[in-house]
Amino acid sequence: MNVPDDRFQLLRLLLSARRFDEAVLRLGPEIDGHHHVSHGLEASAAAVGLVRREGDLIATNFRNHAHLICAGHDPSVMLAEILGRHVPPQLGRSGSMHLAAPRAGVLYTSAMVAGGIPQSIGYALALKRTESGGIAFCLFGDGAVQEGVAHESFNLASLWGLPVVFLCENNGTMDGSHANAYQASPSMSALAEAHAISSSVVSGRDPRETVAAVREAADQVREQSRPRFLDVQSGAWVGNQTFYPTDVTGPTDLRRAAAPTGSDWDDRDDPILAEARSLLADDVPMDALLEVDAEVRRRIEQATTEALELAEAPGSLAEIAGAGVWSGS
Amino acid sequence: MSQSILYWEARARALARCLEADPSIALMGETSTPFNPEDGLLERYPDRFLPYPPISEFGMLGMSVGAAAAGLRPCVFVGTSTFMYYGWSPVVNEAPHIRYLSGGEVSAPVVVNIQSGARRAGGAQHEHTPHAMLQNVAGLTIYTPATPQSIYDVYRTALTGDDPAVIVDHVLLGETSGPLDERRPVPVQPLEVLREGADGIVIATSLMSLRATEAAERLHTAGGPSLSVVNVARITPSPWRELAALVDGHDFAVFVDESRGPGSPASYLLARVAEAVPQARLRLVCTADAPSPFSTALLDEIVPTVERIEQSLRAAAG
Repeated sequence: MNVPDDRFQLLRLLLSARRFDEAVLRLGPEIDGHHHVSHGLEASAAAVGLVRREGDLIATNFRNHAHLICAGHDPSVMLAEILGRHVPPQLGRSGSMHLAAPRAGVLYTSAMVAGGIPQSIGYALALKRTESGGIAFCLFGDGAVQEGVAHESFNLASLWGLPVVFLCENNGTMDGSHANAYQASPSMSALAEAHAISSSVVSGRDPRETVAAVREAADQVREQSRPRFLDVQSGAWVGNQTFYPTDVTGPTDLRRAAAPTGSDWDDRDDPILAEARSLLADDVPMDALLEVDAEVRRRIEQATTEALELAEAPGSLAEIAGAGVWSGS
Repeated sequence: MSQSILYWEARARALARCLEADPSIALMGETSTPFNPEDGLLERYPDRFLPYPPISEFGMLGMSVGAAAAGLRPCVFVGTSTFMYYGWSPVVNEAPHIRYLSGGEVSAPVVVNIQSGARRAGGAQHEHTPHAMLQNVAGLTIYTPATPQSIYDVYRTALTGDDPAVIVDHVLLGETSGPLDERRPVPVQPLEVLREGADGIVIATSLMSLRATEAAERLHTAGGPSLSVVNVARITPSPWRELAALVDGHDFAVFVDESRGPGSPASYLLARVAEAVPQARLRLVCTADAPSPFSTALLDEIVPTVERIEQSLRAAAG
């Protein structure tokens, strides 16, 4: 097996998230219930995956697939859970929206809008009080900032000096005077700065810029034990504008990075193609990118097969449904 | 070996013992210890407190759930029970699911203390009994202690257990007294027998257990039947099977809770006992379906007073 080439580390993470969600979209008809894909938001997921250290904790949200893949969760176990199979540890009781991977730093997914934000400051409090050196990453959409608890949490984190990177995955529509269609304030950063949290605007369309910003923020948070806020702005993927996600842009094709296609998604919004363009500009040949992609696709295809083969938990359905609600039960 | 002690002193003593035993316990909340900042805990354990937070119940309770999942043992004093409505979501829709959804890999054993019930002249917004609503949440443990012994054992149980818990402290219990044996084993027994009698049984929660005991004494002194009184010190997970076994053998059982009847613990336990012990005569005493009026004369018309409980016991005894 070849030693992975470091130049492709970022592309590999981005593609892992994208190819995983494409597999989810293909399986869509077989998935009961709601699920969300992360198309267009992979840069922040990959950045946290690259920057996080052992012992750091991540608070994700209902759009959690990319976060978990980039943090290192097993895609076959994830897919089995998303399909509702009774595979340990989550036993089909969680589905897509409550996926957890404690060993990857994701203790739980709260699928309530803004639910993870106060929990992330609790992670930061625990990490600080135990002097572990760890920090918390909190990823949420721009809609979460409309919930009051987001502001309570920003204030508490700032007041008590809690080590957390607030990372707003902002795919809201800006009109120049509003932070998004729902926020009267002129910017997301202004909302963070109102709580004395320093904030930066980052292009989530540019994965390299996102990684650099998350790394800088995480270093500061670790050093100063203060929260930081990042307004990571990205495009809204049109496939999310339906009740269930629909793969309207089709499977990602890295060859579209070679020259403008005339599509905003290809030429401006898709962070995977953006990183492919950066690598091409570094004189990496397209064939090398396609080779990385082929390797990622093989891994996800294998995970899809394994997800259907993993052994389900023994015991009756009633036992699986009802066990372990309280400790000892 | 027992000594008489005030309820709030027993609570402070349990907290001190838990703080000594477990360095991961962190106390958070609106006051250092409910209503008794003079208990000295803040001075003795200053680094274990996050006192006087901003008035942000949602943020504080959400933070405590995250901290519990990450390995701290937060014990949060919300103060007046209705303040928790602002922070309902983490208590009812986050913490209780974490063990279940993670297949037991993670749990969030946050302990929340609320000061509950009719304080008298508190009025409509400060005299609720949220345990009636909370008992509908699977995965949350709800304690309704009535005595210094039970609050002591309840704290030790909650702060060494592995589940999120709400300790419902009735606001009028603080100055009551009773014996305390500090060597009782944990976990706390969910059913605490306060009085033994052969003819009938009264099942109550929190302060209502003390009122039921007084009502039973009055009835017996007046030549009436001899009644057992049981405090349900833990309403979830429900101890209804053990309770049905206690009721079996008595002619009648009266269920008393300060909640409004719809969805109260007394209503649920009555229904379970009715199925399990069909021959027993059963009666229910709850607060009437009205908000708490400010006037104490009006309040006494709707809450289970000693007199109203006694009337119900007489009616049940036939």
